This record gives sequence, structure tokens and C-alpha cells, in this order.
Amino acid sequence: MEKRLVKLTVNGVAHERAVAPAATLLEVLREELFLTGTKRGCDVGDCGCCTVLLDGAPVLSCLVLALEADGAEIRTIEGVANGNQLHPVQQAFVDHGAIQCGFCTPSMVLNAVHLLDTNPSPDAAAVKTCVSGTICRCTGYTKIEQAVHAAARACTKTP
Amino acid sequence: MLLPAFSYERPAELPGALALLQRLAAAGVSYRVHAGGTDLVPELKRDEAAIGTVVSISRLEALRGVRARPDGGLEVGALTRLSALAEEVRERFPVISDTALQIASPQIRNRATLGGNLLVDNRCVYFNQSPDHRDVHAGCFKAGGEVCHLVPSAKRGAQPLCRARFVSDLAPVLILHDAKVVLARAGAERELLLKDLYAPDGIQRTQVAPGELLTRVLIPASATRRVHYLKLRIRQALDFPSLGVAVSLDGKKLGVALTGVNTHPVVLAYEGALDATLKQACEDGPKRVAPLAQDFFSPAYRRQMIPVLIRRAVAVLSKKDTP
Amino acid sequence: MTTWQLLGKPTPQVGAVDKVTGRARYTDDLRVHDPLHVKILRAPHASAKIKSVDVSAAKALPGVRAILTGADFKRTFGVLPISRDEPALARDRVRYVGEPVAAVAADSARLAEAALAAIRVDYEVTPAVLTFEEARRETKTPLHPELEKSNNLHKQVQQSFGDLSRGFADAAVTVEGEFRFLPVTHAFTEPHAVQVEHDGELLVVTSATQVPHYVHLALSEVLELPPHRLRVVKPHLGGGFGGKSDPFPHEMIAAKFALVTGRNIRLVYEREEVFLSNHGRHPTELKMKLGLHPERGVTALDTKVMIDGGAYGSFGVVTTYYNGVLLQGPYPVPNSAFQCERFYTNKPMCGAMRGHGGVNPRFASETLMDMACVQAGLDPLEARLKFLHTGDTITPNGFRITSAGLREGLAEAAQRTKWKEKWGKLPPGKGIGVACGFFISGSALPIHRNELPQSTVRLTIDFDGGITVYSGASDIGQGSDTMLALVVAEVLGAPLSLVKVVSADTRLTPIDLGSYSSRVTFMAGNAARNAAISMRKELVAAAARLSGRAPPEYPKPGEPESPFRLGQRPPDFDSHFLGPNPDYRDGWTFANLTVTPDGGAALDYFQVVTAALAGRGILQTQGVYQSPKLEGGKHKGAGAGLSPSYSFTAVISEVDVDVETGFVRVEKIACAHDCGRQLNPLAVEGQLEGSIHMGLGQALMEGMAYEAGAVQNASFLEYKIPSAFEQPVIDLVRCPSVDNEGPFGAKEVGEGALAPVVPSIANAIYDAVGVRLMRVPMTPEVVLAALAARRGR
Ligand SMILES: Cc1cc2nc3c(=O)[nH]c(=O)nc-3n(C[C@H](O)[C@H](O)[C@H](O)COP(=O)(O)OP(=O)(O)OC[C@H]3O[C@@H](n4cnc5c(N)ncnc54)[C@H](O)[C@@H]3O)c2cc1C
Ligand code: SF4
Ligand code: FES
Ligand code: FES
Repeated sequence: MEKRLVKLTVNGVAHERAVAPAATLLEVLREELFLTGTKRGCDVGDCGCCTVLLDGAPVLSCLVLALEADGAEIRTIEGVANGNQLHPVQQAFVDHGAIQCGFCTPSMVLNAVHLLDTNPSPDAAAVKTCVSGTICRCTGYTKIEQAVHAAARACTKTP
Repeated sequence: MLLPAFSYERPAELPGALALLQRLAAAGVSYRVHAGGTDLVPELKRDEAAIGTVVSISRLEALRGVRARPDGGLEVGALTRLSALAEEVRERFPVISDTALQIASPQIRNRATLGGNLLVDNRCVYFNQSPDHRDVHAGCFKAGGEVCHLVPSAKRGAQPLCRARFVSDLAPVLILHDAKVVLARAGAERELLLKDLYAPDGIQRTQVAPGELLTRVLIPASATRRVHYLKLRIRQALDFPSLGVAVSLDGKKLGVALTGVNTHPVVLAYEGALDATLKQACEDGPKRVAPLAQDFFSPAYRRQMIPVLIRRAVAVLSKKDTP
Repeated sequence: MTTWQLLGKPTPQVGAVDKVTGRARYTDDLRVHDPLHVKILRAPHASAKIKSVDVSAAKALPGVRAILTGADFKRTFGVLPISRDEPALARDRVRYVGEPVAAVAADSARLAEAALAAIRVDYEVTPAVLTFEEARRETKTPLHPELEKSNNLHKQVQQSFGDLSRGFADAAVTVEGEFRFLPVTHAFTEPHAVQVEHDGELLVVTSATQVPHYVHLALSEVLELPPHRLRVVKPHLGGGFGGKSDPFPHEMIAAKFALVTGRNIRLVYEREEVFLSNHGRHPTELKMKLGLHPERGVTALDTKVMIDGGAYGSFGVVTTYYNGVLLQGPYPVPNSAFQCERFYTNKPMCGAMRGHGGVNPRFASETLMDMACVQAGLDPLEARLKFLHTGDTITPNGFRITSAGLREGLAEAAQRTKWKEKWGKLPPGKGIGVACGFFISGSALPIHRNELPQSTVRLTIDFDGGITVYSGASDIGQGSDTMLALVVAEVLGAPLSLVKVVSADTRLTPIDLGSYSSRVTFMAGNAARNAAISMRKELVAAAARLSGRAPPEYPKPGEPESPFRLGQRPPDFDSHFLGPNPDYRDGWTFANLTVTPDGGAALDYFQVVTAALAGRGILQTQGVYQSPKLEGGKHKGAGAGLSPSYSFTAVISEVDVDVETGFVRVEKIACAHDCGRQLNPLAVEGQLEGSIHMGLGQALMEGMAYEAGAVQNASFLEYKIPSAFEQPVIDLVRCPSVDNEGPFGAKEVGEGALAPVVPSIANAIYDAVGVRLMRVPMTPEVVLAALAARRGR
């Protein structure tokens, strides 16, 4: 099990790491790059908490071998705000009480950021689908969906 | 959950990949093909497969994408992701698109591939568990042991030996489109009707031979055939099909393909007046499946739902007939 | 009316920005220096004797630094002093599949896992007790021989009030039913985790726990370490719902490893291990009989409950009581009897879960209430409106009900849902149903008998004017830190940004018995308010000096204006008897960082702080909450369920039932919850929506499946938590209620709303298709079976 070099651009920063084939992207992010905003809720693809954007699309980092992400652009929750300026999705989550324990929040936010990037005025079904890939045990999803809708409105107002 | 140690190859193009697979197969190295990894990685994390090498085909761009065929049908690369598939076939085959969007979750669909979905491992409540849990009930045949907890009378040599259930959502829909798959190996290719790809056993579940790769799926065009798919599951996200019913209508032909209730997709074909064929299909469906207590829903319930869903799918298709 | 500056307005959580940017650190996100990694070996048998454990081969493996087995722990533990029956690692026997048997600390998680495989445990498998039937049998080999009983009955409670037979004789209709409930579990998203660091003589245990002080006490006992050598800290926490309110074996194991090896320790559970640890809602079998009179309401209620506690005690004794005592609301029940038995079985233990003990009996009572109304020809909503408790009453078992504001809320919900036009009138397959509930606002009696106040809060203001609130209460995601900050900021007229909450750190924060039984807002909230009022006095004194005014003359302690109470403590100005609309009686106004005397010029807050600090260095006050002395009654167990205040809930569900498949789609839920005054509507709504989600899950799909004692669905894929697609449209109705003793009039909102969700769905199903369901979850198969049974009749 030789380690191999993997090149990742994470939140705009280029990294090179030697990793074992058995390492997942989630492990590399959390344990090597200390980007602990990406959460590990189940490690087998069921909860969605480990979502990151890989070349722009939300994926489950617990199911992605780190070597599979070689050369990819990764965006984690740490890379969503612009300095101290929250992304409209983040701001909407804060304002609408879409956050309770916050463990699902990184995934919910990244999924919503991707949704609004690809579909600026999503309908109710699109928002539900976007939320449906992550389990939230605290909020019952209601405020999360409201926040995504609000963020969509905010984004279209200030292009 | 930590992945076990394995070596990892990620060939850059198809011929190299096929050559590598041939080498591994010839040398008797246990290997697994990794496409999107959404089925394989959890399986490996649970040590469900002893594994020497993971061969990732994710760089084989030639296997990605949807192309129109001269006959009006489509040729879909096995590596096409489910989210992309849903987009790209929406116009021509809306039912394939809708079915793809009922699989797993958005994040999983961004990695999961068509080929992986057709070859997704059969599932069983005694098998898809951590190694610790499998030890509780003693490892079963699928886990390399000597017992089946669901069919205690099964003995080695029985056919089927393992009754882990087939769960692909796309397979029944594509089967009713008469889809074919292309299996390639070093220097050769063969075409197979999708419905013939599967073997009736939860362990030896496909005809894919060592060294072979599923490269493309061919979906012929038909001006008259319409297909509908209904998926039974307790939650409308994440869940595998407890039962999936695909139904096709084409003139006097009625086709039914079932997933989730046997070791392989169960396909039924009828010709005649719809009243009669439908009645027959509803009678036959429950008899042709062998659901076991492997799922949220009981075997009896899943059987009972087959005619209900067949009728409903036919109703949807008939409604589409009369605009 | 007092006008609030902050309270009552929707306020985002104080930690929200950290959570939304990924900065928030949860236990496993901490990076302690060079830790050893711990993995736990678990029992593969539900019941077995441990004949030997051989760790020699494992010890010899590279990177393995220490191994612990049952022999390394002398003492057992448990959250309740009356049932300290759980070992950190199993000693001579294992009692459930998944019980920790040995643990390895190694240089990496991988090495630790490899070492587990090398540990040899020789078991002698013994017959397992898995069902009620097995548990009720006499036996020579009970799960807990130390109790010296010849059966597996853990706890039995019997209470009766009034005259049951008279009650049934008085009833116009009598209905009864037998109900069965599968076990459900919390399924919080963050797995259990703990990290241990050495800080000089101090062992710093950072854990994902709801109750750091319980963990502290248990660690001290089990490790035989003086309490002052421990510090337990809870960082951000990914959900608890009761499932992180016990001390756990992994906390004992991690701390012990730290002591044995002198190294820092890191331990995090796999999701499967979380399911195996369980502590969820008890599987329940319940018989209930209810008598109803169309004018007088419930005349009699007879309840017999069996709950399956699993292998150890946990909160089980409390659960046993709560199964009965919470039936004393939401309607007066003059004559009642209840019996509850908790059994030990060879399964992971059950404990406290949101709605603790009250959820399953509530399903029964609200289903029967519905049946009785239908039989008596009453509209079930109007009947409930009529029968609900009024405020300022005492129940037959001695509960003192202060505020009760559900009536208005339920009436409003009835209007909004157009109940009158819908109930009994919807097309086949569509239905509407109602159910009500009742819950405590914290327990008046502590689990550990002690003379401490229930909650203590320390407050400081330092040179920079920054206000720090120190509270032992755990913010487990529900937003209690925000509530504390709001309460303090309100009293001191400061913006929220000036207030920092330091909570749930046993070294820094005063003792608080944690986040459970919906106690935090009521108790810690009152303590914070009292601390802030004392601080206000300090600032007023300084401001008076600065402006050359006479200090205010505070009223002498005496009877308050009017709040209803039966407590005996003499009220004083600082106490909670101040009432919900405080008039601080100091003649000063604190607002927007100014301090202004009546008819005088405003002083700058920071200037006042500087003046107050002169000669003192730091401003410091403390506030406590001590519930009024509640009598309850003389009967055994009179303390159970005593609370300074109670919440009330009504839920109206609208469903669509597919009679061919049995699928129930809950389309809408209206919920009126009387939580007193809403301090932060955003948090209140979030708690209610979350409770509805959990109620929905238990109603329709959740249930732990066991096979030979092993949890078969120990994953988020197979244990079915509702997804976003199942969540109904929710309409929350406010109840115009103010509790005289709650902080600014507030009471419980975290748990009470869950219970009525489940029967409201059942009652709606009845309205839709005419069948009464008495199995929970009400899966499509349960619905179909009931429909078939009715057709067969
Ligand atoms: C939470 C969760 C929910 C899920 N829900 C569903 C569901 O509802 N319905 C459903 O059908 N599936 C579901 N899945 C399973 C899986 O995600 C999908 O089936 C997916 O399409 C698999 O594709 P993949 O590319 O990720 O496959 P991989 O994991 O890469 O491979 C799957 C299998 O196919 C083999 N394979 C893949 N591609 C090829 C090829 N080209 N040639 C030869 N062999 C190949 C692999 O060796 C492996 O055995 C779910 C998975 C998870 C984790
Ligand atoms: S069907 Fe039998 S052999 Fe196959 S996985 Fe299930 S228990 Fe094992
Ligand atoms: S941690 Fe990846 S899906 Fe749960
Ligand atoms: S906020 Fe706790 S899981 Fe979503």
C-alpha cells in the first residue's frame, strides 16, 4: 500500500500530499488539512454531512477516495464566505434560524450554494431535492428550505 | 470506518485499462472496478470484499457521455454520472431521467455512474453490515461462510446459493427499452441484451467475466413504446427500492420488469388485449418473485404491491395515450 | 406593559456564524497534541459469560500502547444514583450485542483496530432475555444478580388517585385499547466522541455530552480520582435529544487510558456504535382504559405499561414514573390508576429521549380520547377545548399547574385549519385529527439529592465593558447560549454582541445539571436573569454616584403583587417571584448602551462600568434558580414529574391515506404550543418544527429492528429518519400565555410538542379511513392490515 502523491486545490489553495489508496477525501480534509468544517456523520454515504463541492458539484467526501480527487478543485464550507462577508446562503441560514446543532449545516449550505449557482430561481421541488441529500435531525428541514428560498431571492436581487 | 489496504490503479485510457484487467485476471489477483465508487467504497469499508487491487476507471473519459445513434437511439457511456444522465436523456427518454433522479441522493448521483448502477451489488440485511455485525449471526455464504440466514436449508452447490436482492433502479427501465450492454475486454467486445446480463444468484450476480468492463449501454429508439417506473420505498429520498416496477406498453405488447424482489430483475412480457395482459401480469408478478425479509417492508407486502403498482403504471401510460 | 428591547424578536443563534462557516469546533474537530487513538471491542452475543479475555497477542502488536478490560474498572456507574449498574467494560458477563468488552489505545486508529482483531475472548453463550414474555418469567439467572431478585423486573411503580371504579361508573362512555410501540432512537447527526488532554494535574475531558457535570461526577467515581482533578468541557454539540445525557463507557475508557498511558486520547464512534449504544425510547406495551363524560371530561383513566429497558438502568426509573405521571394533563383526571413495569433485557439500554416517558402513553390516551369523543357524539376538538386544564390548579397527584394558555391556541388552530369544515367531512382517504399534550418545564427535584440550587449563573463585567455569562447549561443545538445572552442583554440594555456566554465547562462554569427534562430556559434562564438584575443594581449604584443622585430605594422583600403560587419560600426582590414583567423599581432605564435616570440625562454604559469598577477591578454577580418548594403529595414517587411549570400542546394533522398501499402522507401540521412567553420566536419555532419531525418519524417509519438481540438497522440508511420530502407544511400557532415564574414568562418548548404529533396522525388516519391504529410506527403495512381487518369484519 504505497502512498501516492495527490494534488488538490482546496478553497483556492494548492496542496500536494502523499496519501494511501485507502484514504478518503474526507480523511485528508479533516486529518491532513485540518479542515474540520466537513463533518463525518456516518462515513458510508447515508447522512450527507461530509458534502464538499468537487469541481463544482456536491459529492460525499466519505465515499471519494482521495486519489480519485487528484487534480480536482475542492470547495469546503471554509471556502464559502468571502473573508468576513458571508455568502447569501450563509446569511440566510443565520437569519432564518436554519441552524440548530449545526452538524448538517456545512452540507446544507454547500448544496444550496451549488443549487443557486446552477438554478438561480429554484422552485419548491428543486429546493426540497437539494435539501434531501442530507439528514437533519434538529430542524425538520422547514427553516432550511425557507433559508434556501430566501437566499435565492437575495441572490437575484443583488446579482 | 477505515478502508482496508489495497493497491490502486487508475489507467488513463481504455486499452490500457483492459490490458491491466486482463493481466490481473490472468494472475488471479482479486480486483474490483471502481467507477463512481458509491457502492464499492461502502462495501470495502465494511470489508464485504477481500480485495487486492482497485482499478479505477474514472479517468476513461471515452466512457462518459451520451451520443445519438443513427437509428435514433442513444449510446450512453458506462461512466456517465446519474446526474448527467438525467439531464442528457430527459428529452428522448424522460422515464430514464426520472428514474435516475429517484436514486440515492443528489450528492451520490453526482458520482454514481450508469454502469455502476447496473452492476450495483445485491443487498441483504445479513450482509450489508459491519464485519462485527456479520460475526453476530455467523458469516453467511455471501460473506464466505457456510450458512444462509434467510434460507437455512440452502447448501453449497444450491442454485441460487445466495438470495441477496437485486436493487438497481435503472435496470428494469432499461430492460424494457430492450437496452443492450457492451462488455469489452482486451482486444474484443461483446454485446448482450441487458436482461441477459444478470445471473440468478446474489453472489455470482452478473455475466461480466474476469477482465471485462462494461463500456456502453445502447438504447434503441422506438416510436411506439412507452415506459413508466414506480418505486416503492418508505422515504422519498436515499432509500433503495423495496420494490421497483417498470411497465412498458407498445401496441399490443405489455412488458413488466421488477427490481428489489429477487436476486435478479424479473421480466414479464405479454401480447394481446390490454385488459387480459394486465390481468395476467398482475397474477404472474407476485408468483415470479422471491422476496425475503431483507428490507423495511415484509416479503408479503412487497408481493402484494406488485399488482397495485403495475396497474398504476399502466394507468399513467394509458393516460398519456389520450392527451 | 413592559417593552422589550431584545426578547420576543427572532434572534439568530449566537454561534450561528461559526456554524455556517465551518469554524465551529465539535469534539472530534479538536486537535489535541499527539493523541493515542482508541477503538472498542464489542460483544457479539446478547448474553454470555466471559470466561477469559486474552490480550497478550494484541499487546505485542506494533503501535499498541495500552489495553483495558473489565478488570481495570472496579466501579460501575449510571446517571441515576439508584441504578449505578453499568460497567465501563463488561466484567464477567456481557448483556447485549455491542457491549464494550475491551479497548485498545494505539498510535493510530488503524493499529487500534488491527489490535482488536487479535484480542481473544472466550464466551460461554447463555440464554438471552429479549421479549417481555421472557423478561417476566421467574429465573435463576437474572441479568442483574446483584439486585438479588428472581426475575428481571427492574422497577415497578403503582399510583392511584381518586376512586377509579366510581370514575368509570360516572363515565358516559368507556373505551380501551392495547398499544404497542417499537423502540426509537435519537439519531443525532454527530456521533459520540471524546478527547482527553493532560493539563498539569488536571485531566481535561472534552466530550459530546449534554451534561458535563454528570460526566464529571461519574468519571471521578469510576476512575477514583478526586473531582478537582477533572475538568469536563462540552464544545459545540451535534444534537442530543436525550441521547447524550448519560455518562457513557467511552468517556470512562478514554479518561482511564489517559491516566494509564499519560498520553492524550482521542476516541470517536462509528455510526453503528451510536446505534448500538442506543439509550433511546423504550419499546412499550400498554393497556389503557378511559372513561369520559360529555360534560365533566375524563372521569377515569386506568393505565398499565410495560417498558423494555434493555441491559442497564440509565434514566429508566424516571421513565417508569413519567409513563404515568405525565397523564395528569392536559385534562383534569380526577380518578386514575397507573402501573408501570420496567424490565431488564439483553438489548442495548433505553433511556431518556425527547418527550421522555410521555410519548407512548400520550399516544394511547389521545387515541382513546378521540374514540370516546366519537362514541359520545362529541367533536373531539371542541371536547378537548372544553376539558383542558385551566391555569392555577392542582392535580389530584399534586402537580401545581400555573399558567395554561393552550385553550386560546387550540381555538385559533381550529380556525386556521378550518377544522369544523373538515373533520368528518373530507373525501375518503383524506383526514384531519387532533391531539393534545402536556410536559414538564424541568424537574423540581434533582436526580442527585443535594442542597444546591437547580441552576446557578455567574456574571462578570470586565474593564472593556464586555459581559460574560458563565453557565453550566449545555447548548446542544437548541440555542440555550443564545437564550442566556438574550436574558442578560435585556436586563442590562446591552446589545447581544457585548455578551459572551461561557457554558458547559465544569472548571469554569458553576454546576448545572444539564440540558434535559426541558429545564434549561426555565431554570438557567431564571438564574441568568437574577444574576443580571444583581448586576444592574451594581451599575445603578455607580450611575447614581456619577450623576450625583441618591441611590434608589428598593422595596423590601415582601409579597409580590399577585403571581399565583403555592410555594413557601419568602419572595424577595432578586427571586423569580419578581414576575414575568419586571419593573426593576430602580428609577433607571437601561437601553442601547445608555443608563438613564427618570427625568435625567443619559450616561454612557462604558462610563458607568468604569465607575463601577473603581476599586473593584471586576464586577461580578451570581444568580440562582431554586424552584419553589413543591409538595406534590405524600404518596410514593410524589416527586416524579413535579415541575415549577408545565407546557401544553395541541397538534392538528391532515393526512392523505392511500388505501391500496397503506401509505400515509402527512400534508399539514398545525401546532399550538403553550411555552409561556416566547423569548426568541426563531428558537421556539425551530424546537417545534424539530419536535414535529421526530414525532412524524416515530409515527410513520422509525423503529429499531432486532434479530437475536442485534440491531439490524444500525445505519442512517436502514433506520428511517424522515427526509425533507416527508416533512409536512407546518403552521405554528402562538398561545397568549405568560408564566409568572418563568424567566420573563417563558417555559418549556423543547420536548412537549413531540408527543401529540403521533396520536394526531393516528386520529387523522381514523378520520380518513375509519381504522384505529394501535401499533407504532403506523407503517403502510400496519395501515393495510387494519383496513383488511375491518373489511373482514
Ligand atoms: C445511501 C445510498 C443510497 C443508494 N440508493 C440507491 C438507490 O436508490 N438505487 C440504486 O440503484 N442504487 C442506490 N445506491 C447504490 C449506488 O450508489 C448506485 O447504484 C450507483 O449507481 C452505483 O454507481 P457507481 O458508479 O458509484 O458504482 P461503483 O461503486 O463504482 O460500482 C458498483 C459495482 O459495479 C462495478 N462496476 C462499476 N462500473 C463498472 C464497469 N463499467 N464495468 C464493470 N464493473 C463495473 C463495481 O466493481 C462495483 O461492483 C445507493 C448508495 C448509497 C450509498
Ligand atoms: S441471502 Fe443468505 S447468503 Fe445471501 S447475503 Fe442474505 S443471508 Fe447471506
Ligand atoms: S459522512 Fe459521508 S455521508 Fe455520512
Ligand atoms: S441542525 Fe442539527 S442536524 Fe441539522
